[in-house]
Amino acid sequence: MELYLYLALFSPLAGSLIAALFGARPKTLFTGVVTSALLGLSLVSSTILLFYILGGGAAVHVEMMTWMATGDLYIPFGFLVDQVSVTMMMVVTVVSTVVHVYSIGYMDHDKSFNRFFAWLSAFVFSMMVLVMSDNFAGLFIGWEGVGLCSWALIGFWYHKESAIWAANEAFIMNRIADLGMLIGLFLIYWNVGSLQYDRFFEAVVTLDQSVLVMIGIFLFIGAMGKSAQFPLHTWLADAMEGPTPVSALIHAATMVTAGVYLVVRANPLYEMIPEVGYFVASLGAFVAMFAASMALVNRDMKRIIAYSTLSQLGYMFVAAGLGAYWVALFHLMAHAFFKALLFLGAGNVMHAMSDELDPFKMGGLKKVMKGTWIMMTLASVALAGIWPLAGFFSKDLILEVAFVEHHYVLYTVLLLTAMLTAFYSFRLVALIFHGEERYKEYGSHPHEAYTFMLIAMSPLALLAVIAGFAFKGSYIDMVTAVLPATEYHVHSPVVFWIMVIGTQLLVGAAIAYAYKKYQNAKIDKAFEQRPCYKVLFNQYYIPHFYEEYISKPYRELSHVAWKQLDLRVVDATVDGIATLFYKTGEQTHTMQNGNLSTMLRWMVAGTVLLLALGVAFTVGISVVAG
Amino acid sequence: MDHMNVANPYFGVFVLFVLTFGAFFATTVIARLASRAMAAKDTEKLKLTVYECGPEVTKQPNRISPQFYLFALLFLLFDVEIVFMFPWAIDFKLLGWFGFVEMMLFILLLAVGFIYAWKKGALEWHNIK
Amino acid sequence: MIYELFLILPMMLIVLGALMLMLLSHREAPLNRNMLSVLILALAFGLTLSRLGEAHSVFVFEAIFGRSFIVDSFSTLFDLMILGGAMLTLLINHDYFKSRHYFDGDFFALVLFAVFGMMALSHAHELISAFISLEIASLSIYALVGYNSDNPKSREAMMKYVVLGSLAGALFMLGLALIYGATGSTELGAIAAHIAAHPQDAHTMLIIGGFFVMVTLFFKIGAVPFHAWVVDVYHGAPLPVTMLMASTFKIALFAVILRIYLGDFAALGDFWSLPLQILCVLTLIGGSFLALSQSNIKRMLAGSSVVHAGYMLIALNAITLGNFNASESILFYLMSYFISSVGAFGILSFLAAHEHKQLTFEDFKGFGYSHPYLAAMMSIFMLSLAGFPSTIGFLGKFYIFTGAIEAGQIALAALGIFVAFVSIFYYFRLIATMYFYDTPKTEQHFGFDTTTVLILLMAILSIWGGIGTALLPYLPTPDALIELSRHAITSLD
Repeated sequence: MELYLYLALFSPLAGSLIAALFGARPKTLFTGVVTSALLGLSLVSSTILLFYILGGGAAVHVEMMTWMATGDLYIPFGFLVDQVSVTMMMVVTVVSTVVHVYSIGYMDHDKSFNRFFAWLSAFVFSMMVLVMSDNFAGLFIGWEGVGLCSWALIGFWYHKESAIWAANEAFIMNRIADLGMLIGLFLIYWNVGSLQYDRFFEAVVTLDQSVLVMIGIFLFIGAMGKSAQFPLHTWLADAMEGPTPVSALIHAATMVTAGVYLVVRANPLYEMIPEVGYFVASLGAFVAMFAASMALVNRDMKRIIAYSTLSQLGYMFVAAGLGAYWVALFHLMAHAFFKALLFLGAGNVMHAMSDELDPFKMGGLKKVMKGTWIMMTLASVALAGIWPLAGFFSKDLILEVAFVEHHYVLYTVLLLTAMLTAFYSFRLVALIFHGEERYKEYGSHPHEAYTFMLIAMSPLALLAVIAGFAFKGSYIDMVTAVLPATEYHVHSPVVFWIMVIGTQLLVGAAIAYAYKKYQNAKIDKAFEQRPCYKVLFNQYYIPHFYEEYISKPYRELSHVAWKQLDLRVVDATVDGIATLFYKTGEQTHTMQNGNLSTMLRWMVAGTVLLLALGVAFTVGISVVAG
Repeated sequence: MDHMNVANPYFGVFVLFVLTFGAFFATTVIARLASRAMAAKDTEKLKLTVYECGPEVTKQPNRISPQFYLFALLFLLFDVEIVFMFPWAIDFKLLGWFGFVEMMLFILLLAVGFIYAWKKGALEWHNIK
Repeated sequence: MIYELFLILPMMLIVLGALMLMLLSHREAPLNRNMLSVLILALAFGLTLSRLGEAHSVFVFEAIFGRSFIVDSFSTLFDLMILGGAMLTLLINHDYFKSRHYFDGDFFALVLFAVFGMMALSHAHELISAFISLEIASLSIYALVGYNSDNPKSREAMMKYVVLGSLAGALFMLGLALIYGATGSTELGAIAAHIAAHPQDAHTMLIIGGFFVMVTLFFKIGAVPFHAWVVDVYHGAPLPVTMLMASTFKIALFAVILRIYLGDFAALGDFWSLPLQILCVLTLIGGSFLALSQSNIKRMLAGSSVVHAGYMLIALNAITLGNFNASESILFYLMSYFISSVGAFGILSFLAAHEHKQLTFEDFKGFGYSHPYLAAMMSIFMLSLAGFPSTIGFLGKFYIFTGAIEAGQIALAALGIFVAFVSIFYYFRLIATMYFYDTPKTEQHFGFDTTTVLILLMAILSIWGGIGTALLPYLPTPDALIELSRHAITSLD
């Protein structure tokens, strides 16, 4: 099994290195093919590991090598494949294989084709390190690795000012959160003396409650950054500047869910501190609602999907915060499939419309893009949570959890959000695919994507449909071997059926309303003048607030520090030392005039000096000794 | 200071030695300073030419060829090595085979040097490569 | 007998090779003398390598030579460093030799004689042998320095070096006489026995003699105030000779310094300490002045080599104070300095071979754009020489400063760190010159040949030496080098 572990882990790295070799060359098709093939290998290995674990095999734990060993500090490079990490591995490898194959078509005309695949595979490798590590240090390395690759991929089209800005924003926001994460790691090391998961989880019960709360909060701050939770959420929408396959892989399916993974992985810790867990859940519910509301009015196709991702991440945190870790992980998995599918569909639409993002300029595309239409509709149905697609099983479960745990406020918020989700998803589908062919006014000539791209997407479509009812049973059996196996059943069957059917009806109503309103939508000028629209459209003015009250004062402070502190104190000191040496050098360069006699004199002077010292010192010692 | 140290027979030598160094250093410095201070700074053209004991400065007609120096050097080199052979010759029997082999090695090394000089043309007049 | 022959076989190989090259020198035959000498060096290297790691300490032909020549683990390690150093120096100058007409057969014969002298120096267990070895190496190097007799600078450099070197040699003899006068022997073991047998305060003359020997050795490594020749001679000498002097010769000198002051004079450490500290301070500060004011890269590197000698003196001082662990740091530092400086000089030699430039800072303007790969490697070497973290130079300095602090020499370590900061000015000046100016020239083609491949290797080694422990678990790491050095040092006791 170790062989499969290494294969799964390192074949993306190999692919990345191969593609990087040709990074500066013009497009060569085989880099795309090789990286995809190697990811396929990784997928196969992960699948073998999955079946091994499903078949009741013990967790695979290897220690590849010692990374640091100084004094008491001992950090090995160890990898662990257990029920949780194998789930993540499957999600990562399935989605990334699909995205790689898809990108061969999507990036077809890009001149940096090879560079794209080098970074994309590097991302997958980092993500695998993140999920497979058996200690927090390895997790952190992967954590930073995905951050770096995400930075490079958001800013992939670095000639665009906005792309660079978005890349830097994402990176800096994540750095802020990573500081919290690092503090958490230091606290763990400080108190436990090891960063290994198993050592830490053993020690959790013996630690002081306040320490645990601190650790929990700081780790969660790290998770907030990666998973773009409020108030560090602004980067995710801006990150849509990157190529769409990147959005599908990184900003929908994998990297942003790393925060959820962290909380799930640290479940013994959060078990001990339910109050922090409750905070996590509340924040998650808030973000779910908050992000969904912003998605209602947005006029940028990719941003709408990004807000939807944010909202779904909120759902996952609700589940994780309430202690239903396996539910969170299940929703993570289902969400990865249908959200990646949605993004890839959006990528097809963008391709067809020559990178147009405003759905109001589309309409009626279902005639020309049948395949994309079907898949995006499927993904939207799954996202809305209609039976029997994947979203129903995972999202309804979260609602049940909230209900069963008697958090009725959370339940209500989530229920409302579910309606909003259905509404904005189908608003998008209606605007893009139905109604008049508005694009003709703008002179576009849409065409369907390459067939192989559609074929590449089809596994995701399949999974989005069946992941719920086909996998739920065996999934629960598997994961609950390591995660707390709480069953969430509403005790009264009447209440249960009312809940389920009620939710379905509400969601269905929202879908119908969205179709009706947007099927033939013209842009509603009067609606746009309303304050509530403005607030939502401007993302609650939060980016504005950040710019005005954080970025600007910081810039001014930096300016002052530069003028007053750096130039006058730091630079002056440094220059002063250099000038001192230069000046003295100029004064004394006659000593080094290249004249042989002078040189001889130097030598004699030196010898005399040494001798004088020697005699003085020897005699001195003799006196002391005598 | 310990009596032993002063009594050391070499201590006097050492003191003299230090003094000599000091004196050397002082003399050169003083000489330079003094000559700089006292010298008449006359930059007349004739003054700056080479001093040739009265006769007018001309190009020397009979220059000594550097070849002489080379010959002198080679002679000195090989001549001095003879010094090593005398004691060996005197104690030839005493030293026996060991001495013989060692001296042969020595001569061999000399011979290599000699061949080198020869091949380089150092032994031929006006034929320096 | 056979075993002892085997032990000295590498040295014999070198001498025979030198004689052969000497006799072949007048031939016009199409003979790649460079590769021939490299081959001889490589053979000797291979033979010596087979002994690495096994602990041994043998006086060769004790019946004939007495105890004047020793072959032990210590000398083996130094032999390897010297042979490897000479080999790399010759190889990295491959292009340079081809571009200059004056490198004929004699040149390589002289290089081999110099290498022989250096090896003998690391084996010398007696002061007269040490002196003779030193002079064999020095005389060859005098001739090598002035080898390009068309260049007045080269001739001038040779003249200066010969005159000053002779004075230094005379001082060595003087010191030798004093030591013999005091102890009745020039053999290091006997001297050590004499020191042990007599009270501490009875060694005045011995110490004075020791100082004279020290003056000579410090002259050769270019410690202030015996440094006056360094910049001119390094500048005047042909580049390969400069490299040989700056790196390989210095290695050999530290071999003898360590053997004398670590092994046998160790008991008198108290006496050396104060003068050494003063020399250290002078060398570090004086060397910085020298390096700062140069406008020619070769002269700047020459000046900075004085500073590097100063760092090693810090470690030497720590040894005299009883911290014997510091000796490993000297060995490691020698290797790290060797790698970085040979790389930097190699780039100069490559440029001199292909572009015939003066190699001043001016010439490097826009170098980053015209030669992006070479400029990147040059930056690595400069970073390593400056002791930037994640390069081998950093580890070298790190070990030296820790050694000094362990020996209680906090002030010296602080001065060393300060001087390392000052060194950033002149090393980074080159990096800044390379990257912060535009160049009218277009990008030059970067081709792989002996020279560039070796430069690349040096660059990789500089980085590997700095971070190797973390990344490449299966290759020998700097720790292994330290381990090797420690092993070698133990054979001195």
